[in-house]
Amino acid sequence: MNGKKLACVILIMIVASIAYGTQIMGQRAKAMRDEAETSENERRAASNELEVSKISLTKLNDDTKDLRNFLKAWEPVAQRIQTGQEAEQLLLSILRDSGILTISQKFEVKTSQTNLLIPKSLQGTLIVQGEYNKVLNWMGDFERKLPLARITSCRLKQGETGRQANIEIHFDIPMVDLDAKFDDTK
Amino acid sequence: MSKYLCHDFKSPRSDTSPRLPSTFMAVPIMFLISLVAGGYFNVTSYLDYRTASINRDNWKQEQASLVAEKEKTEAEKGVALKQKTKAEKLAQWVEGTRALQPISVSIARCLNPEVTVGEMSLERSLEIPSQIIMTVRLNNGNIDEIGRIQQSIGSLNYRAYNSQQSKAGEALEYRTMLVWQQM
Repeated sequence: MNGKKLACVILIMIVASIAYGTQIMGQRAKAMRDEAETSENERRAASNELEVSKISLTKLNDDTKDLRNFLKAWEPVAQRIQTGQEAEQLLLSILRDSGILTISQKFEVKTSQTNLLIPKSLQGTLIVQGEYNKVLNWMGDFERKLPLARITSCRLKQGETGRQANIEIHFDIPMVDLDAKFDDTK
Repeated sequence: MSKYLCHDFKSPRSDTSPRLPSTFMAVPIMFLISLVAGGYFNVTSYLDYRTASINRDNWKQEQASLVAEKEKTEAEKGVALKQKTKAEKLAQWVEGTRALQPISVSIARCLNPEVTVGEMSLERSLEIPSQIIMTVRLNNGNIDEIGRIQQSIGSLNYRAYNSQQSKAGEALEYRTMLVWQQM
């Protein structure tokens, strides 16, 4: 092979390299364009998902507004009693202020594994005696000062005299755990 | 080198290679064209690549911020759902804590002075604590007192179901289930 032929071969090789390089560059540019297009589509999809999520949040907020306001209103009441001791003290103070005779009292803290919101409650029985109106006022005080307390049963009987009444109540004072972790199924 | 210089243009030179065929003239032309075209295509491809790369980065960045915002929204939704669950459970409990004292007071008030309450019992249903089973034993009572009791209970938005009454001597026993009526 003489020098001219060699020069031609070298030129052809350079031309081939340029063509190859151009092709590679073109392919890379196309791949990047595709990647950019994919990213744009993904961004559009993310934008749609965000819109859907925002709409559902707004709907959820509207639908649960009353319930959430209800919770907000009851939160301070629920937080007031967090231990059995607190419940017992409040109960005894209501009894002291009423000026009626306590015949019998029995309190017990019960725990629940299934109720996450109310894991503990003070259950008890109280038998008190006094003037009819005082006894009823005491019962009113009990229900007003412990609005979350549930009187499960109440038996009112005539006392020793006509003006006296004897009342036996079974109650349940919950200790609400507002930080309970719910998984929406329990 | 010889002392005498002899210029011979006629006889072919033996130290040079033969001339290439004329088609080989296309090679340098092709080279030049490929240089120009290659340069053009490479530059445009490079610019394209750079623009696409910048766009891709921008889209990705925007996507990341959108995803983060969506996660925030989902977290807010989770909080709202948890609050809803809590509120529902608390409401369920509160529904069963409706005060019993107003019932006792209204019954005591509605009766005639000669009639006395021998015994009154209010018990919440175990399954549905908002429902109350009420038993009242009246001394010297009659059927009119039952009507008054029902009326007074109705004024407290309770409705009496499954009412039963029985009389034993002077005592009249009235038993009913009280169900709260939504306003």
